[in-house]
Amino acid sequence: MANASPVLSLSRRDGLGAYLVELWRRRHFVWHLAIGGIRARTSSTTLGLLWWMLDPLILGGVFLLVFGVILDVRRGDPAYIGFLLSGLFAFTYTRTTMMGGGNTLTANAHLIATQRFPRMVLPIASVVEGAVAFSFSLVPWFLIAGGAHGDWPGRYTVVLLPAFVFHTLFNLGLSLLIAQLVIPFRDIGNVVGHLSRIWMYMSPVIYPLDERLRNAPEALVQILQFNPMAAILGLYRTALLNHPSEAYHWWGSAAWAVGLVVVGAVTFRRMEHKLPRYLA
Amino acid sequence: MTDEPSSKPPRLTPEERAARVAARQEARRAERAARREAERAARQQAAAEQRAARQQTVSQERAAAVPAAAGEPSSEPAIVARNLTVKFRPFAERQPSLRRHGLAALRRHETPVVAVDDVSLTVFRGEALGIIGSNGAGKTTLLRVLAGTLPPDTGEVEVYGTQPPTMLSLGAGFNRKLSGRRNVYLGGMAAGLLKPQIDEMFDDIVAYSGLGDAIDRPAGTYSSGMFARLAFAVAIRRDPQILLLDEVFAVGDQAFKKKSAETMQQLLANAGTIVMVSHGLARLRRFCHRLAWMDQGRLIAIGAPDEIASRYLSFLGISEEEAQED
Repeated sequence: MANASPVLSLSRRDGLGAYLVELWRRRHFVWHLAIGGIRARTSSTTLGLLWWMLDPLILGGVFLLVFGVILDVRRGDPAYIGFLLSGLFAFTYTRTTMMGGGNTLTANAHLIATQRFPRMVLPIASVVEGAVAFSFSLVPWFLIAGGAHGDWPGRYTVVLLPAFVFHTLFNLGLSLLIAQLVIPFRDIGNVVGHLSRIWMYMSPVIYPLDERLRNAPEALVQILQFNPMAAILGLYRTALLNHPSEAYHWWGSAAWAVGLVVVGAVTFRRMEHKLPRYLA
Repeated sequence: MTDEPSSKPPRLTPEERAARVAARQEARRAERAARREAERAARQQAAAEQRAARQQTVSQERAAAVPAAAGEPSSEPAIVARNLTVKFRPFAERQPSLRRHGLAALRRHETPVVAVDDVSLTVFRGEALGIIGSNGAGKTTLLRVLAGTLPPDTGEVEVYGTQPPTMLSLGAGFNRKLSGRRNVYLGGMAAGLLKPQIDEMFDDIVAYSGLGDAIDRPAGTYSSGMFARLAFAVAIRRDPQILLLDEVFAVGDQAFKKKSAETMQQLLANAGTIVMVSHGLARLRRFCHRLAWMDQGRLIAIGAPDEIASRYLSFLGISEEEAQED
């Protein structure tokens, strides 16, 4: 209790370095929030954590029934099940982080009002939660599609790692952007679900898009080439289905991932101090 | 449906509703203006007294005047707040939406709500400072600024010591669907503790809360008293240097209330500094070294508890006896 005690200034904002150090210090908090979210969602069910595999399984079954059997999108492609489910599960990861980004700040308003911590912890935790759920869904994917496809795991399986890293960074950037937009404009929260659904149909999730767009105008095809999900899903399919990867899958995924996470983090940090005003 | 005697208000057209809202806002504004006018005189007097109170260093005199207050505050500052002002944009109070936001952007000249208006104060180490005032006086907002969770529009907060102030907030970070055990970790981490620190104090927390084996049950199955006890145990186990409290002490049953009050005394005795907001005037008088009275975002007066409390009561038009009843 000496007089020369250090002075802490609460009204001044931390520098970027200090912010990142504090964020790293809170990594266990991020993990506990994410795992807590996962457990909370299934805590009152009989099957518990099994739901994290059942959910994608049932979702995949519905899509297979509608698109694979009734609409017969597959047209005799034996690897269609693997194609559909890999796209669907990967896209579900993006979809849940979009929704999570929209919810996490308002859901934790009390925490934001009373505790001092880097607010980025919350969207990061929601992405981690989505990542864990996605990892769970790879188990049913392997059981259904991987076994049927024969050469899985193959030599391209290692591509799964960069695909997952790029995808996660991309989702994080997206989640940070949505989180900060939702706060002043709550309406965006209502639109996110619809946007993600449109996006899914505009991405090669259910069908290879280039094949579908053979008669479409050239300009539209070029616009859709910019779809970051097309590049990311391309990498996943290289890993899971031994599809040949195209160069733009790699640089597209990397550029989108890094670009979005940087833009998301910088803008989020700028608006972070305004957060309590909007949530109060 | 129509002949059923309904307690619901009659259906209004949007125009009628808008007119009513406008009328209500107008009335509120007028009322506020009138009160402000009445207080200006009081404030001027108060400012003079406040200056006097500040000059008078924390001394034995005051400790003698407040026999129940634990320990003795030092003259070293723990928190120095200078000219704090916090304004809330009115649209945050309404349902925020894209349309309203667009309208609000056009009407930015709309007067913001000033929740904290140019408040300066110093909290000394080892001191218990109570903040009193009517609802909406800005007490909680001020506390949140001191906690560092709400950056002020203008002004500065400086904290002397090695940790930022801790806002004792019941159940911050808790998730009722998870077990008490997980909530201890979540709550502790939300408060900035590291996992090994929580591991170390986990048994103490459970023992203090008196939950026993219930700690592994989902927190949603707890009674509200049990939940509050666990939340209090987590919040208090941080051994904070500066503790900020917002109306949280009356938790649990009588036995736990006694225990929590003793813990507070102990915290104070350990040279902890406490700033608390409460409507329990009697308790604040007993517990605090000084009281600060806020109204409409302004700090009206700060000084010896008995003096400030009686001025506050006479301002409200409440006699001492009536105040004792709660």
